[in-house]
Amino acid sequence: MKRSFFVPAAGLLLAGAAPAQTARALGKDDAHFARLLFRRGYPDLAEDFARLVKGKGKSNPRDLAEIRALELDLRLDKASREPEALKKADLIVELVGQMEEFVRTDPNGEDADEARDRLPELYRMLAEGMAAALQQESDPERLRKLREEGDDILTRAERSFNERRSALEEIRAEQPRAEGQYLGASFDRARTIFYHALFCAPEDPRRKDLLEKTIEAFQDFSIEWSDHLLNYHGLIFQGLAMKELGRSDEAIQVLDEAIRLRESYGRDARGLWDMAPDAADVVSAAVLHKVLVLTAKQDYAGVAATAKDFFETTRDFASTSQGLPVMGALAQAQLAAGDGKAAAATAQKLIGLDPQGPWGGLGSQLLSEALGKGGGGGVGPEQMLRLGERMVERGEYARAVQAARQLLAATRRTEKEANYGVEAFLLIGQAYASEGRLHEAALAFDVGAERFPAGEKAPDALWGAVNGYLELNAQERSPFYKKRLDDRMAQLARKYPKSPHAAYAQLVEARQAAAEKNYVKAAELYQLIPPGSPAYEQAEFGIGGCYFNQARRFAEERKPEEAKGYYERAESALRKTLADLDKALQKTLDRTAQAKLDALAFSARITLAQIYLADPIRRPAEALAILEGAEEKAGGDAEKSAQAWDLRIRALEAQGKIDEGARLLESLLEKNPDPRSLVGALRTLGRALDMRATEERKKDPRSGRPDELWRKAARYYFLSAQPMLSGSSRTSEIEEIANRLLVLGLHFSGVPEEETTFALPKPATVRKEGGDLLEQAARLYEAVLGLTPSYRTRISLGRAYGFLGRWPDAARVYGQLFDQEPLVEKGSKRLNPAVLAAKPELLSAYLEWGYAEHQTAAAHKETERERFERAQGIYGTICNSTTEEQRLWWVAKYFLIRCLIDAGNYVEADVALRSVERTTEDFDGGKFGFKDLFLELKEQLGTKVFRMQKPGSSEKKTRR
Amino acid sequence: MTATLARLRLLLVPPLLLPLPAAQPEVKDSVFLKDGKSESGRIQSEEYGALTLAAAKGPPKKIPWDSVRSVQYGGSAPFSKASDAFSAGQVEEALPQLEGLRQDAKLRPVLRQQVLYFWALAQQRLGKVDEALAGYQALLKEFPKSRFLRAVGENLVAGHLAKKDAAGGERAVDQFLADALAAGVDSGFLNELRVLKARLLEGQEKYAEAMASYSILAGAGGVSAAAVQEATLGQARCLQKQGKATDAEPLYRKLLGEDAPNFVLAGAWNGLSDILSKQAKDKRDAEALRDALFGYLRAVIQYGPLAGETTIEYERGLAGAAKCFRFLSELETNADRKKLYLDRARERLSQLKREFPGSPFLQD
Repeated sequence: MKRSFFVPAAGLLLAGAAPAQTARALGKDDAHFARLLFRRGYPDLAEDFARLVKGKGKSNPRDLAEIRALELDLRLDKASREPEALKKADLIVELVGQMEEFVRTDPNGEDADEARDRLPELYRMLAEGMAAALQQESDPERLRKLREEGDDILTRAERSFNERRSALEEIRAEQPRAEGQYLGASFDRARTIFYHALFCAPEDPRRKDLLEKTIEAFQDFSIEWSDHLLNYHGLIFQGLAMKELGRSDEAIQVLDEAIRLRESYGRDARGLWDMAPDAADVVSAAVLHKVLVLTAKQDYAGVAATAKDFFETTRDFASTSQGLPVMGALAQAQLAAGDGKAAAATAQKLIGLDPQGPWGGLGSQLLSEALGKGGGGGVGPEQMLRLGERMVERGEYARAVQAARQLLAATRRTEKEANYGVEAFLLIGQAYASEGRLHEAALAFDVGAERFPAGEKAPDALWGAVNGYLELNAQERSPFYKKRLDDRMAQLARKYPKSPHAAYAQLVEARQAAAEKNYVKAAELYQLIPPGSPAYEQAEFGIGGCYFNQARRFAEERKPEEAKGYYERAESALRKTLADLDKALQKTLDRTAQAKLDALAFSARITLAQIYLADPIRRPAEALAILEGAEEKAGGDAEKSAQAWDLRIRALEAQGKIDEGARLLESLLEKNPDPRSLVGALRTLGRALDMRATEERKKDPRSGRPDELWRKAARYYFLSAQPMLSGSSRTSEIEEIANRLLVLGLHFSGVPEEETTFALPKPATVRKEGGDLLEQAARLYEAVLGLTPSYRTRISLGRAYGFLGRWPDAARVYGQLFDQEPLVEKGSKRLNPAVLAAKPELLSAYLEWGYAEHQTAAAHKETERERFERAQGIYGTICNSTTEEQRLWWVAKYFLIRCLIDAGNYVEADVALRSVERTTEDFDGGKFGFKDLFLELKEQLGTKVFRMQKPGSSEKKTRR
Repeated sequence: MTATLARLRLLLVPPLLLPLPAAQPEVKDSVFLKDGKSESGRIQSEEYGALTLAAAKGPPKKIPWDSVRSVQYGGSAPFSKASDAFSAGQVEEALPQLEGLRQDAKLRPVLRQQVLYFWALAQQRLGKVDEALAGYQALLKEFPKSRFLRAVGENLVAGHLAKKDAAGGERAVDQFLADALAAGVDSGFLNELRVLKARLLEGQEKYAEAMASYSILAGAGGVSAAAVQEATLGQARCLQKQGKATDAEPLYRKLLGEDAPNFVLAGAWNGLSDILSKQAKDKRDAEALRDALFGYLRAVIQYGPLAGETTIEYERGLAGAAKCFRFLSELETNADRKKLYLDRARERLSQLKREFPGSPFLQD
């Protein structure tokens, strides 16, 4: 098999970042870019990037400082994400140690202050992390060690802050900067004492002492800096310490004092405190802790009053740091008080304020708890419904269906049964439709309309059923669905003539014709829908779409003239559609209607761009023009945006302006390093550059330009891959990218094109640049295998690891492959010809498995006997199944002898070699290039084995 | 609960605090009625017919289950969490939570009853039948008039049949009925419970005897309409098993025209779909197979169970749908569509396996 280096995968023609990156990914402001990656939620990418920046060796000091800070954040992030408490504690301890060392070795350095600022937060994590670890640990020795370690660090921390305070105290009067540092050290000292207190076990007498010491320290702080914002933070700490000491009332008093910070600001006309954002954050934290203290006291009325006052008097309370947590705490208190109804209402507000965020998620969870087991808890039907809808949005389909069933049960035989009943089935239908379960979805919609025809949304349900059956009919072409479809459409027109869906039903016949690929007839049917119908614009778009599809069909049939005619008709229809959509948009203020019209406009633009790029038309400049601002109509939909970018790049490519496309994309990446929205563009650009490089290499094999282009292509492939892993991309798309990265990786590794395997007597050494790409390819293959196991993908992954010299990984992957593929006939030690005929790729993979086991074993001779034996078995099986006439026999035999030598079985190796020598004529006679290799082995064995030739004996001995 | 939500829970604890023991608020329960009203107080007990609520004033009040829309238990957050996981089909996740609650000696009886039931049910769902049966016995011992009495009886029968231990099943059902009688369960309900004996006979393929038992029950006075419908369903099933599909079909269709409990209607759709799919397969009629497919899906979609209710018909519906897709694949000649149907069959079977790893329909 020859690598198809010059032919990028066909699938890459369609629209489609990766975990590790190459030095080619570097540009300007790299450290900033790495930081942005981290902020955007790509710690892996950020880490890789940071490593690259450090490795390139020419970074400016500012970049390096930023990278050091980023590395710390990354490690903090890693520690905070670590799920295992013990491991987490270890990570934090290590981090604290390094930070302390950093401050100690360069106390006046530029970064020392920043490191010092971070330390208290680390102490908090340490106290919490270690306390959690202590709860999980059962080994008394380890427990003791953990306690000692934590205690040590926190005591040392206190001492260090004390010493720093003392040192600064002496100079604070003379140096303004020292005054600020003194304030900071005093605050950090006090809070570190608090963390230390929390670290102590409840029965430890030091806990109480330390809590009291905390209060004292913050009171001292308060005396000196009463008007400083940090003082209010200190009041909160005092409150927490008092609560821990069981002095709840005092805690509430000091927290109230902290809340009174707002009184230093005025109120606006609506009675809202006019606080600075920092102050509002402190007040929100104080309110949160007061609410929690009151909840612990079971003073639920107090909780409600405190929260209400905060919500009603704080401007944009939800944007304060603890505004949403206050709301969450209120809902929890309401739940604890048994007031499910109020809890559900609060939880719903939380969802409304943070619909896509984590607090909205908590709201859903709380709402779900309020729903409870017994058929809905205190949650009313409306809330149940909203909860279900929320679950569908979050992809919790099973729970959504269960919520719908509860809704059905809860409203059975009630006044509103019809309305809620149909809503419940709409919800079930949506949940199944979102899972792609069309049969269940269509039936759910159908049942909703059938059982509750008087429900307000029954026409919606019927419309859902129509669409479901339409889609099923397109897939299965069955009279069963056609009959249901016609029947439901008739019902829609008969029972609900005023419903907008009844008008849309006119579209169905045309859509059916289009689904049957009868585009001309479909266009005619769309034309029957008159202007003024709610479905008019949809029909107009349908006409354009049908002509476009008809044109494509002619193009596929190689009838360019006919194709051109239909492309032109499609263009004219779609241009008119766009004009009419603009007019329709001006006439409506209804957001839902606007969104529908925008979606149509986007689709029309995309289709037009495709027309302008089509062969018989070829007007790429117009494609670019029509795509201008297309994303505005995409409503933030990443897939749609990718689609637009894909076409844009193709248009630039068609104009020979591919570099312009790259520049455009680079500038976008700088502004928005989140590659998710640019997946399609990155992939298309990668492919375009890849193709261009291929063409240039064909023209001039000695030019350096193709390599430049391939490097860029690799970068874009790479950047496009990461979001695909976390999104809904097809595994085939990811694999195509992985395949391309593998090929490019081998190219940049200097592996000759004809070498498709690493299992060679003298394999090429992989160069670093190519190695990075191979690593990326391997990570993508791993991801693909996690989703859809395939023997081909496994072979590619094993090969990537093999070329990288990651022998244990390669051996693992091939081992998994041959667990699944019964290549060796049981009991015979021969290869199964039927399996080989079906999957010929397995043969070289089998040899590669042997080689990977062999190399793994060779690296750890003492412990890997089993692997040596496995490798020998594999080589032996290949020899048994092939003949000396085949190159593979020679490869396997050569490796078998090498393996015996590597395992220290010199005598056996010698016997095997002499047997080859005896039974062949001059080895392979140079036919496959193995003669010299065998002679080398013979020479090598000559130094290990000597013969004492006795008469009639062939005894051999191994040299010592 | 997702990892994100779990982290948020921690965030709700003050960012500077270690987890503290949960506060024990005063327990106040609310019962929401179907007529839109609600009652609050402390639920004293939950029995098969009604719950008893002690309000702040006046004597305790019995509220029949069929007038209850929902119940909110005060201080039930950990249970709600476990129950929520169970309802969402995350049985393996729910089980350790239920186990923790089961060990909590201070748990209120009203919640304990639910914990014991759902714990046993979770075991049964996971195919651990012996643990489940022991769990149900423990529940009955503590709550002989449990609100789950009927469901426990059903699950006892299903569990013994799954073990192919008819004799054990018979002993268990006899004991179950005797205990119910001794506990003072009223005669009407007790009569309804006798359907379990018929189910046991049916499970042993003693269709004639089972038919007779179902007939007696269907004709008995003092039993609810739902019990009669269940007995009719049993009769139809027995007829069908005896090869009398033409006699069974009108019974199924009759039931489908009535206002019956979900599991009865699901059972009727499944029975009818069994008949249709067999005929369709014999005639190699893809269109008729689709009729059967949608019949099975009705058992899943239209009459799916609530958490804690019997799931046998739901499982049967899922398995039936998978079977129909497989048959469709066999009849199809277009390679792409053939694969499509097979994929759809696999999807339904994997769902069944995921939701009910111990389902008897996985063995078909």
